Amino acid sequence: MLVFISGGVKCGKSMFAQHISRFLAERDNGGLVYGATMMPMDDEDRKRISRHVEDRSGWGFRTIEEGLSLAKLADQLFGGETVLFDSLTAYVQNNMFFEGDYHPEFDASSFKEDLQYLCGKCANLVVVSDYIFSDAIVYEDLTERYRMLLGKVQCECASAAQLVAECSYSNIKIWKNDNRLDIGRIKEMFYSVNSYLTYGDI
Amino acid sequence: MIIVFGGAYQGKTDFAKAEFGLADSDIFECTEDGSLDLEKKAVSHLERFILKRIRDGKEVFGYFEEIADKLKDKIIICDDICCGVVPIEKEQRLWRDNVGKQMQIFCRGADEVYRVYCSLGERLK
Repeated sequence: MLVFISGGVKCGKSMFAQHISRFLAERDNGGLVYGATMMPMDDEDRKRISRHVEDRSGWGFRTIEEGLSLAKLADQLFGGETVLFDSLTAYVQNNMFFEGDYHPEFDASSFKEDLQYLCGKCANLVVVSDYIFSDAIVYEDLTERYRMLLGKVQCECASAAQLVAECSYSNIKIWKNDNRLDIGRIKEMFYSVNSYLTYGDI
Repeated sequence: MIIVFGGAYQGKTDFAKAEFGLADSDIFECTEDGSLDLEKKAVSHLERFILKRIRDGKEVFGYFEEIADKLKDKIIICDDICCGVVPIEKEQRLWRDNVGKQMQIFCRGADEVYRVYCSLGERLK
Protein backbone atom coordinates (compact mmCIF):
# COMPACT_ATOMS: atom_id res chain seq x y z
CA MET A 1 0.00 0.00 0.00
CA LEU A 2 0.98 3.62 -0.46
CA VAL A 3 0.99 5.98 2.53
CA PHE A 4 1.45 9.76 2.33
CA ILE A 5 2.29 11.85 5.39
CA SER A 6 2.92 15.59 5.51
CA GLY A 7 3.08 18.40 8.01
CA GLY A 8 5.15 21.37 9.11
CA VAL A 9 8.66 21.25 10.48
CA LYS A 10 9.22 19.34 13.74
CA CYS A 11 5.67 17.98 13.85
CA GLY A 12 6.61 14.32 14.37
CA LYS A 13 5.86 13.24 10.82
CA SER A 14 9.11 11.30 10.32
CA MET A 15 8.68 9.41 13.58
CA PHE A 16 5.02 8.69 12.83
CA ALA A 17 6.12 7.45 9.40
CA GLN A 18 8.66 5.14 11.05
CA HIS A 19 5.93 3.64 13.23
CA ILE A 20 3.63 3.07 10.28
CA SER A 21 6.50 1.55 8.29
CA ARG A 22 7.43 -0.87 11.06
CA PHE A 23 3.78 -1.81 11.55
CA LEU A 24 3.38 -2.59 7.84
CA ALA A 25 6.68 -4.49 7.58
CA GLU A 26 5.78 -6.69 10.55
CA ARG A 27 2.28 -7.26 9.18
CA ASP A 28 3.66 -8.32 5.79
CA ASN A 29 6.77 -10.16 7.08
CA GLY A 30 9.06 -8.06 4.89
CA GLY A 31 12.24 -6.02 5.32
CA LEU A 32 12.44 -2.33 6.17
CA VAL A 33 14.18 0.09 3.84
CA TYR A 34 14.91 3.75 4.45
CA GLY A 35 15.12 5.83 1.29
CA ALA A 36 17.42 8.64 2.41
CA THR A 37 17.10 11.75 0.27
CA MET A 38 19.06 14.50 1.94
CA MET A 39 22.20 15.54 0.08
CA PRO A 40 24.12 17.45 2.77
CA MET A 41 25.40 20.93 1.96
CA ASP A 42 26.84 21.92 5.34
CA ASP A 43 27.36 20.92 8.98
CA GLU A 44 23.78 21.71 9.92
CA ASP A 45 22.58 19.21 7.30
CA ARG A 46 25.09 16.61 8.49
CA LYS A 47 23.88 17.06 12.09
CA ARG A 48 20.30 16.68 10.97
CA ILE A 49 21.15 13.47 9.14
CA SER A 50 22.97 12.01 12.13
CA ARG A 51 19.92 12.79 14.31
CA HIS A 52 17.66 10.94 11.88
CA VAL A 53 20.14 8.02 11.74
CA GLU A 54 20.12 7.89 15.54
CA ASP A 55 16.30 7.95 15.56
CA ARG A 56 16.24 4.95 13.24
CA SER A 57 18.95 2.94 15.00
CA GLY A 58 17.66 -0.38 16.28
CA TRP A 59 14.61 -0.29 14.01
CA GLY A 60 16.12 -2.62 11.42
CA PHE A 61 16.14 -0.26 8.44
CA ARG A 62 18.44 -0.95 5.52
CA THR A 63 19.36 2.54 4.25
CA ILE A 64 19.54 3.33 0.56
CA GLU A 65 20.80 6.79 -0.29
CA GLU A 66 18.96 7.98 -3.38
CA GLY A 67 17.89 11.60 -3.49
CA LEU A 68 17.14 12.01 -7.19
CA SER A 69 15.21 9.08 -8.65
CA LEU A 70 12.39 6.91 -7.35
CA ALA A 71 13.09 4.45 -10.16
CA LYS A 72 16.74 4.06 -9.13
CA LEU A 73 15.64 3.49 -5.55
CA ALA A 74 13.20 0.85 -6.79
CA ASP A 75 15.97 -0.98 -8.65
CA GLN A 76 17.93 -1.46 -5.42
CA LEU A 77 15.10 -3.27 -3.62
CA PHE A 78 15.00 -7.02 -2.95
CA GLY A 79 11.21 -7.29 -3.11
CA GLY A 80 8.45 -7.49 -0.48
CA GLU A 81 9.97 -4.66 1.54
CA THR A 82 8.37 -1.67 3.21
CA VAL A 83 10.10 1.50 2.07
CA LEU A 84 10.10 4.76 4.00
CA PHE A 85 10.89 7.64 1.62
CA ASP A 86 11.78 10.79 3.53
CA SER A 87 11.23 13.26 1.92
CA LEU A 88 9.55 14.57 -1.24
CA THR A 89 10.70 18.04 -0.19
CA ALA A 90 14.35 17.01 -0.54
CA TYR A 91 13.60 15.05 -3.72
CA VAL A 92 12.24 18.15 -5.50
CA GLN A 93 15.05 20.33 -4.13
CA ASN A 94 17.75 17.84 -5.20
CA ASN A 95 16.37 17.62 -8.72
CA MET A 96 15.93 21.37 -9.13
CA PHE A 97 19.37 22.24 -7.78
CA PHE A 98 21.49 19.16 -8.53
CA GLU A 99 25.21 19.78 -7.93
CA GLY A 100 24.58 23.39 -7.04
CA ASP A 101 23.11 24.41 -10.41
CA TYR A 102 19.53 25.29 -11.19
CA HIS A 103 17.91 22.76 -13.54
CA PRO A 104 14.94 24.49 -15.18
CA GLU A 105 14.21 21.36 -17.23
CA PHE A 106 13.12 19.45 -14.13
CA ASP A 107 9.33 19.50 -14.17
CA ALA A 108 8.53 16.32 -12.18
CA SER A 109 6.65 15.00 -15.22
CA SER A 110 7.96 11.47 -14.62
CA PHE A 111 7.02 11.47 -10.95
CA LYS A 112 3.66 9.70 -11.27
CA GLU A 113 5.12 6.93 -13.41
CA ASP A 114 8.20 6.53 -11.18
CA LEU A 115 5.98 6.39 -8.12
CA GLN A 116 3.93 3.58 -9.67
CA TYR A 117 7.12 1.76 -10.63
CA LEU A 118 8.46 2.03 -7.08
CA CYS A 119 5.13 0.89 -5.62
CA GLY A 120 5.30 -2.15 -7.88
CA LYS A 121 8.73 -3.10 -6.51
CA CYS A 122 7.85 -3.06 -2.80
CA ALA A 123 5.10 -4.26 -0.49
CA ASN A 124 4.51 -0.83 1.03
CA LEU A 125 5.74 2.68 0.41
CA VAL A 126 5.51 5.40 3.06
CA VAL A 127 6.22 8.89 1.69
CA VAL A 128 6.97 11.90 3.90
CA SER A 129 6.79 15.54 2.83
CA ASP A 130 6.70 19.07 4.22
CA TYR A 131 3.70 21.36 4.14
CA ILE A 132 4.93 24.81 3.04
CA PHE A 133 1.92 26.25 1.27
CA SER A 134 0.10 28.65 3.57
CA ASP A 135 2.18 31.74 4.13
CA ALA A 136 1.57 35.27 2.84
CA ILE A 137 4.77 35.86 0.94
CA VAL A 138 5.00 36.73 -2.73
CA TYR A 139 8.05 34.66 -3.67
CA GLU A 140 10.44 35.18 -6.54
CA ASP A 141 10.02 32.84 -9.52
CA LEU A 142 12.48 30.16 -8.41
CA THR A 143 10.92 29.60 -4.98
CA GLU A 144 7.44 29.80 -6.50
CA ARG A 145 8.43 27.10 -8.99
CA TYR A 146 9.75 24.95 -6.14
CA ARG A 147 6.42 25.32 -4.30
CA MET A 148 4.48 24.55 -7.47
CA LEU A 149 6.46 21.36 -8.20
CA LEU A 150 6.32 20.18 -4.59
CA GLY A 151 2.56 20.83 -4.54
CA LYS A 152 2.17 18.86 -7.76
CA VAL A 153 4.06 15.76 -6.57
CA GLN A 154 2.31 15.87 -3.20
CA CYS A 155 -1.12 15.99 -4.85
CA GLU A 156 -0.19 13.10 -7.14
CA CYS A 157 1.14 11.08 -4.23
CA ALA A 158 -1.84 11.77 -1.96
CA SER A 159 -4.30 10.99 -4.78
CA ALA A 160 -2.68 7.61 -5.39
CA ALA A 161 -2.24 6.80 -1.68
CA GLN A 162 -4.58 4.55 0.32
CA LEU A 163 -3.63 6.28 3.57
CA VAL A 164 -3.09 10.04 3.91
CA ALA A 165 -2.20 11.64 7.24
CA GLU A 166 -1.44 15.22 8.24
CA CYS A 167 0.73 15.87 11.31
CA SER A 168 0.57 19.03 13.38
CA TYR A 169 2.55 19.20 16.63
CA SER A 170 2.32 15.40 16.80
CA ASN A 171 -1.46 15.44 16.35
CA ILE A 172 -2.54 13.18 13.52
CA LYS A 173 -5.41 13.93 11.17
CA ILE A 174 -6.39 11.09 8.85
CA TRP A 175 -7.62 12.37 5.48
CA LYS A 176 -8.02 8.98 3.87
CA ASN A 177 -7.79 5.38 5.08
CA ASP A 178 -9.06 3.22 2.22
CA ASN A 179 -7.54 -0.02 3.56
CA ARG A 180 -8.92 0.57 7.06
CA LEU A 181 -5.51 0.26 8.65
CA ASP A 182 -5.62 0.11 12.45
CA ILE A 183 -4.49 3.71 12.99
CA GLY A 184 -5.39 3.53 16.68
CA ARG A 185 -2.69 0.86 17.24
CA ILE A 186 -0.08 2.87 15.34
CA LYS A 187 -0.94 6.08 17.19
CA GLU A 188 -0.63 4.23 20.50
CA MET A 189 2.91 3.14 19.61
CA PHE A 190 3.75 6.63 18.37
CA TYR A 191 2.54 8.32 21.56
CA SER A 192 4.11 5.72 23.88
CA VAL A 193 7.61 7.05 23.13
CA ASN A 194 8.64 10.66 23.68
CA SER A 195 10.50 10.62 20.42
CA TYR A 196 10.71 14.39 20.21
CA LEU A 197 13.11 14.34 23.15
CA THR A 198 15.74 12.71 20.97
CA TYR A 199 15.87 15.59 18.58
CA GLY A 200 18.73 17.44 20.27
CA ASP A 201 19.44 21.11 19.96
CA ILE A 202 17.47 22.18 16.88
CA MET B 1 -22.03 31.02 -1.58
CA ILE B 2 -19.62 28.10 -1.60
CA ILE B 3 -16.06 28.58 -0.34
CA VAL B 4 -13.08 26.40 -1.27
CA PHE B 5 -9.81 27.27 0.41
CA GLY B 6 -6.46 25.65 1.15
CA GLY B 7 -2.73 26.17 0.73
CA ALA B 8 -1.13 27.02 -2.60
CA TYR B 9 -0.87 24.22 -5.19
CA GLN B 10 -3.14 21.87 -3.26
CA GLY B 11 -5.52 21.15 -6.15
CA LYS B 12 -8.37 23.45 -5.05
CA THR B 13 -9.54 24.28 -8.57
CA ASP B 14 -9.48 20.62 -9.65
CA PHE B 15 -11.42 19.74 -6.50
CA ALA B 16 -14.03 22.43 -7.23
CA LYS B 17 -14.35 21.30 -10.86
CA ALA B 18 -14.96 17.69 -9.81
CA GLU B 19 -17.19 18.48 -6.83
CA PHE B 20 -19.41 21.04 -8.53
CA GLY B 21 -19.17 19.91 -12.17
CA LEU B 22 -17.42 23.06 -13.39
CA ALA B 23 -15.69 23.44 -16.73
CA ASP B 24 -12.64 25.68 -17.15
CA SER B 25 -14.90 28.21 -18.86
CA ASP B 26 -17.06 28.43 -15.69
CA ILE B 27 -14.14 29.76 -13.65
CA PHE B 28 -12.79 33.29 -13.63
CA GLU B 29 -9.15 33.22 -12.51
CA CYS B 30 -8.08 36.48 -10.90
CA THR B 31 -4.73 37.81 -12.08
CA GLU B 32 -2.71 40.82 -11.08
CA ASP B 33 -4.67 43.06 -13.45
CA GLY B 34 -7.36 43.54 -10.78
CA SER B 35 -10.39 42.61 -12.88
CA LEU B 36 -13.30 40.49 -11.67
CA ASP B 37 -15.83 38.77 -13.96
CA LEU B 38 -18.99 38.01 -12.02
CA GLU B 39 -20.79 36.40 -14.95
CA LYS B 40 -18.99 33.11 -14.33
CA LYS B 41 -20.02 30.50 -11.76
CA ALA B 42 -16.73 30.52 -9.88
CA VAL B 43 -13.92 32.91 -9.02
CA SER B 44 -10.47 31.51 -8.27
CA HIS B 45 -7.41 33.11 -6.67
CA LEU B 46 -9.43 35.70 -4.84
CA GLU B 47 -6.27 36.42 -2.83
CA ARG B 48 -4.68 37.91 -5.99
CA PHE B 49 -7.62 40.23 -6.50
CA ILE B 50 -7.30 41.42 -2.90
CA LEU B 51 -3.53 41.90 -3.28
CA LYS B 52 -4.10 44.12 -6.31
CA ARG B 53 -6.63 46.26 -4.42
CA ILE B 54 -4.14 46.70 -1.59
CA ARG B 55 -1.37 47.64 -4.02
CA ASP B 56 -3.69 50.20 -5.58
CA GLY B 57 -4.61 51.60 -2.15
CA LYS B 58 -8.23 50.54 -2.62
CA GLU B 59 -10.50 49.44 0.19
CA VAL B 60 -11.52 45.73 0.37
CA PHE B 61 -14.45 44.95 2.70
CA GLY B 62 -16.84 47.68 1.59
CA TYR B 63 -16.28 46.67 -2.02
CA PHE B 64 -17.32 43.07 -1.37
CA GLU B 65 -20.31 44.27 0.63
CA GLU B 66 -21.42 46.40 -2.33
CA ILE B 67 -21.34 43.40 -4.70
CA ALA B 68 -22.67 40.92 -2.11
CA ASP B 69 -25.84 40.23 -4.13
CA LYS B 70 -23.79 39.19 -7.15
CA LEU B 71 -21.54 36.96 -5.03
CA LYS B 72 -24.18 34.98 -3.17
CA ASP B 73 -24.47 32.21 -5.78
CA LYS B 74 -20.76 32.04 -6.55
CA ILE B 75 -18.13 29.47 -5.77
CA ILE B 76 -15.14 31.33 -4.33
CA ILE B 77 -11.72 29.66 -4.42
CA CYS B 78 -8.96 31.26 -2.37
CA ASP B 79 -5.43 30.38 -1.19
CA ASP B 80 -5.00 30.06 2.55
CA ILE B 81 -2.17 32.55 3.18
CA CYS B 82 -2.69 32.94 6.92
CA CYS B 83 -0.36 30.32 8.43
CA GLY B 84 3.13 31.70 7.91
CA VAL B 85 5.57 33.94 9.73
CA VAL B 86 4.46 37.58 9.96
CA PRO B 87 5.84 39.07 6.72
CA ILE B 88 8.42 41.85 7.00
CA GLU B 89 6.82 43.82 4.16
CA LYS B 90 3.88 45.96 5.18
CA GLU B 91 2.05 45.25 1.93
CA GLN B 92 2.16 41.53 2.60
CA ARG B 93 1.00 41.99 6.21
CA LEU B 94 -1.93 44.05 4.99
CA TRP B 95 -2.62 41.43 2.35
CA ARG B 96 -2.93 38.49 4.75
CA ASP B 97 -4.92 40.52 7.28
CA ASN B 98 -7.36 41.59 4.58
CA VAL B 99 -7.65 38.13 3.06
CA GLY B 100 -8.13 36.63 6.53
CA LYS B 101 -10.85 39.05 7.55
CA GLN B 102 -12.68 38.91 4.22
CA MET B 103 -12.59 35.11 4.20
CA GLN B 104 -14.02 35.10 7.73
CA ILE B 105 -16.88 37.26 6.50
CA PHE B 106 -17.45 35.01 3.49
CA CYS B 107 -17.21 31.75 5.46
CA ARG B 108 -19.65 32.92 8.12
CA GLY B 109 -22.20 33.72 5.47
CA ALA B 110 -21.47 30.75 3.17
CA ASP B 111 -23.75 27.77 2.62
CA GLU B 112 -20.84 25.37 2.24
CA VAL B 113 -17.14 25.62 3.12
CA TYR B 114 -14.42 23.19 2.03
CA ARG B 115 -10.73 22.98 2.87
CA VAL B 116 -8.49 21.23 0.33
CA TYR B 117 -5.24 19.50 1.32
CA CYS B 118 -3.08 17.59 -1.20
CA SER B 119 -5.98 17.16 -3.62
CA LEU B 120 -8.35 15.94 -0.88
CA GLY B 121 -11.31 18.06 0.18
CA GLU B 122 -12.92 18.25 3.59
CA ARG B 123 -16.28 19.90 4.21
CA LEU B 124 -16.01 22.22 7.22
CA LYS B 125 -19.51 23.64 6.95
